Amino acid sequence: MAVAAEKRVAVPTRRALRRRLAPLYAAAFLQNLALWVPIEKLFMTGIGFDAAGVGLMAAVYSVVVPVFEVPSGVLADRWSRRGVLVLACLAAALSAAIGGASPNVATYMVSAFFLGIFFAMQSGTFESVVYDTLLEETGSSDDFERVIGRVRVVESVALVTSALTGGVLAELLSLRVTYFLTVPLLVAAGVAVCLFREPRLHRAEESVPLRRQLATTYRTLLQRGRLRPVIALTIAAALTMQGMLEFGPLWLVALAVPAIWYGPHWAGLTSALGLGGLLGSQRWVTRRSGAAALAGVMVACTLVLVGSTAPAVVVGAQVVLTAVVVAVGIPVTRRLHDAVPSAVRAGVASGVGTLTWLTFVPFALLVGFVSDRVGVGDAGWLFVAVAVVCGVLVITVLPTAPTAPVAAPLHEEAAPTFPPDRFLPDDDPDWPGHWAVPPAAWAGLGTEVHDAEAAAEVRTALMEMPVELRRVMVLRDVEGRPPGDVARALGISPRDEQLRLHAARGLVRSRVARHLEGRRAT
Amino acid sequence: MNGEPGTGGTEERCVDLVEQLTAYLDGTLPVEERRRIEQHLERCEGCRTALAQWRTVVRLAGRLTTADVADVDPLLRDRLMATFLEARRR
Repeated sequence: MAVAAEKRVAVPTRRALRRRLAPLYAAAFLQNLALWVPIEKLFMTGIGFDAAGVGLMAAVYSVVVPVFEVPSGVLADRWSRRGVLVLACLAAALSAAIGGASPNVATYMVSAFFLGIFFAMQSGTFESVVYDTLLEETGSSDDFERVIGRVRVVESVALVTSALTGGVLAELLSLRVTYFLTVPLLVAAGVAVCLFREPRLHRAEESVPLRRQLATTYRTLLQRGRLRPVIALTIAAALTMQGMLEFGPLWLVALAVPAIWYGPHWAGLTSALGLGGLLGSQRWVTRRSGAAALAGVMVACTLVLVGSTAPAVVVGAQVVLTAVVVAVGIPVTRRLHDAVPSAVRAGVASGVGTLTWLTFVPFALLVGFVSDRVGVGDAGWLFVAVAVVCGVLVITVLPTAPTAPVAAPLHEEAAPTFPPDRFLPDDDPDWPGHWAVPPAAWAGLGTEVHDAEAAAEVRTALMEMPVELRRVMVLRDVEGRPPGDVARALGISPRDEQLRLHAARGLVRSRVARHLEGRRAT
Repeated sequence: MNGEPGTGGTEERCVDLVEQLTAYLDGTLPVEERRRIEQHLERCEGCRTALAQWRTVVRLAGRLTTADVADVDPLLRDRLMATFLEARRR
């Protein structure tokens, strides 16, 4: 936005911002210090997991995460983002405790269920809270890439630390104790989140019915328009990253490299998350030449995965590819948030998470199937395909400047200004489409006398209507801007401006009518 | 019944006319369309009332000040105004 370009964040603001975000950084670190991750497969085998059990657990995730993701995002928007993040930490702590205490597959499934709840609550909400804090502290989303980049670095350091210490702890103590040791870390993460001062932006737009909020959330998510390529790119980048973390080791298996490769390979992939975080906050990433270079590197890396048989080259390509898609994901996430109003932010971000998940499951199955049949090298072509799509989207989406918030389309708001039953039906023999119940004149009802009261009704109606309509009506009718001017400022067509203004006035009219005429009229 | 419907096939129907009120007040309608609406308004008390209500809504909204609605949406407003000023400068 224009503010962003003009206003550099002042040093004292930046210091205040850092102080305010500190608990979130701490929480991100503690949450990712999952000591049990490196020993999970070993532990699972110990309590009787076989291939079918692992499959069933994957099924638990694939149900729990999408089912809870959007509702938890909407809960975060309506209730409290901090509250949802604290609940997420508790779910993760519960998952680690139950997991460590699990005597069998069934109880471990319960642990997996709570881990799914953690992911659902965490994803979308964390970024939303960071974004709104930035807006509140600095008045722009300019620093978003830098802050999220830093979060990724923190997460990556925690993951590498846990990968290194988890194995050692399990060796020194026991597998179960390693799980239990994670619990206080997660509780501490919850405490850190409690210390965080939550931004209130989404509150300002509250007081909408749940049904409307859900409708706006899904509509924002699924509508055609500027948001669609941004969401597609988010999904393509996440698909590649998840794919590398999930299937990257398969290449090592196929190349029959010695076991010693696996440790550095995993360390390389997890540190690529942090590397990507640093890269993604660089300004050149969103220049046309920078975006084109990243797109080229992505496709080149996937081609290496198809063609090369040199382990070092394959590992290098995987690490670079992962770092690049993480880097790309950061400015894309900012574009997503720039385009979404605060009131539905976490819900929409979580919805993108759900879409990613829903895309990843069939993609993973396909990669698994192709690897089984013709080898992992050929499965690499699937990654090439995704990288090409991702690359094209990177070149088209990243160089565009973040624009004014995308408005929700008018399907719902474009409802008729007067209820249809106030007109004669189309098949009326005499006067189809003419008034059956004409509006009552307000002049005799004392609008002049009670102007102040009526204006208060207008204000309430403005507060209750969707923000896209409100914005136009405030600029046009409260501030008295001329027609067309507002459309230019909002980046919408003059026709859209008029439709929104009309819909907004219609809502205000109904409210004033109810006020003046009593409950009889609408 | 307050309306006095016309007889011609091009007669504006009330249900359609009320959706044109904002465009009519903005003065962005083609001349022909505007003329038809004015003819309809002359004959139809219901639509005249609807137009009067529309004008009242605009007048009432005009009584509000920027400060009245500032707390409705403070941040979005600030961002919006900045964009607005920027757009004007260009």
